[in-house]
Amino acid sequence: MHQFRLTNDCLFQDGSPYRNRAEGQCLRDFLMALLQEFYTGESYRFKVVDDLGLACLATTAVCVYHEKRWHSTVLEKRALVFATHHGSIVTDQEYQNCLDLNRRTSPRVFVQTLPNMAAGQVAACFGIRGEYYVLVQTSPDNATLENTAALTLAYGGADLCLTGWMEYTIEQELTVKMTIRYAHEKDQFVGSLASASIARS
Amino acid sequence: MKKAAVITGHGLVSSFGDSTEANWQSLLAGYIGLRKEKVAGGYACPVGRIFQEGIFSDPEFVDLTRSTLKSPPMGWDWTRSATSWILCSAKGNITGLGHKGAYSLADSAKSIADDLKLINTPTCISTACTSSLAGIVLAVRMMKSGQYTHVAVTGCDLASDFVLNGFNRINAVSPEICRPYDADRKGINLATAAATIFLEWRSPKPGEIYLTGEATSNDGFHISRPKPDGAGLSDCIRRSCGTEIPDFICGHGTATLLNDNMESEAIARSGMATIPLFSIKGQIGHTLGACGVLETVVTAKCLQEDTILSSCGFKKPGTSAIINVSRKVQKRPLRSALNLSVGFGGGNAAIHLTKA
Repeated sequence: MHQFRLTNDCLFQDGSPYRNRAEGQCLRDFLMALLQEFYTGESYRFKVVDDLGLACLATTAVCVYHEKRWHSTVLEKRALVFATHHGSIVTDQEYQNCLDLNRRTSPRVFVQTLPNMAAGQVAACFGIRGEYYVLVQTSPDNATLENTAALTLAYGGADLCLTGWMEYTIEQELTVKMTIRYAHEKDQFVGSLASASIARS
Repeated sequence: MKKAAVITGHGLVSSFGDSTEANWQSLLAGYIGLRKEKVAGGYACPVGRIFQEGIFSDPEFVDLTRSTLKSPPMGWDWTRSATSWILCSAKGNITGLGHKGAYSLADSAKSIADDLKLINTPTCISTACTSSLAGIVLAVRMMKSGQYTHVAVTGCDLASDFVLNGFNRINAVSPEICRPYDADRKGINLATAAATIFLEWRSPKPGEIYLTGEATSNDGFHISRPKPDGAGLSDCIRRSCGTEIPDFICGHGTATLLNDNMESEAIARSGMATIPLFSIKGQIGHTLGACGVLETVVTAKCLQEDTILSSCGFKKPGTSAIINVSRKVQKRPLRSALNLSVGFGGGNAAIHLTKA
């Protein structure tokens, strides 16, 4: 199983530095560069995505890049289970501020305030057309994520399930953790293929 | 009979009242629970509100959710290890934004679960307008796995300034009473509502309504536009119905151009173009994350009463695929029904209900 860890300065593969953030490069540009390197799907307008969505897309791209099993699975058999506490509280707050000040906002800002938007972007970008859940939890709860993925693989007609925790807090902390789980000999066992995570600090 | 997820109780609050019977009688009579008001941004549009006595505003999110949980069926025990609860919402207690930590759905759920003395951690789902139908799907899976025998699913959303303004900004709100599936439809009307459904895993008794199929899917296409060919929703219909053809469909029918066209395509490609279809959103409005459970309660009531509702506001066919939209209340023997939800983020959900 490949393990990637993304910090704000470097992408590590199995503990070793794999791609470094260039000097003077902002985090958003670093994530965009990773997407340009690892994203293999159809063209997608990454720039209209908020920071949480971009981090989810970049982490997923890194996570699925080397996985032949992911690419050979039909889209309807790919499932997605994400979890979050608020989604992007930063985007919520930005929208609320505009409302309080009677300022007009871009229509896309409201759409980005829905907690399932990053998951929706990942689904659209990576061709996930199977079962789809976004759970809201007080803190990352791997057991619930694993259990929901197991139920999805056992009863939801999925062969692969991308699970992840994502959060973008008011302190501008960004956290994304992804794992691809799969059903081995349908309904018998849930294993993991690859995982990737990002944390701003 | 084989064990299944049986609907053994429900609670419901909408602009039509705080009982299933009050809502049912209003739907049958063709009443409209939406009133025009000036909303955030100076825009005037019909909104569905739940007015409390003496207070001219919607109740608070947690109180509203709690009110649908107060009358569980006989023998329901929140303190059992095999009992769980799922709370579903698109925006949760968004009016609490600014009061740090007060508006997360998980925090709202915890406070209610503590009052109920629920020993399991509640599950919260937020997949926009498919939230509570996805909650029912997950509840069935939790019971199929043998982990739980009793699961309650609640959907609740508020027609808050945040949400009203947001939908106005994407030009999705109709300035008039919405008209699902009609050629002259102009968009949605938002409404506040909460609904809970109580499910038990056991053999259904004659006359009881139980779930015979359930599925969710994603279009994998766009975050705010449904896939025009309806393939994602059609996949959900296929996985929830199998080879069964339902007697009627309680559709999502938001009255937006894109949703109703996509839904008609999905229904037609599933071989169900002639099956009577209605949407209650022309009467109750779009209750966002609550609509899945609310409409499941209505669908179950239709099966029990052998009644297909009319799709209020529908006059002239106006969807891209030809479908059979119900124009009047019909009484006939009914055995099974399909309930659909579609949402932002590309989500779809479908459940198939059967009368034992």
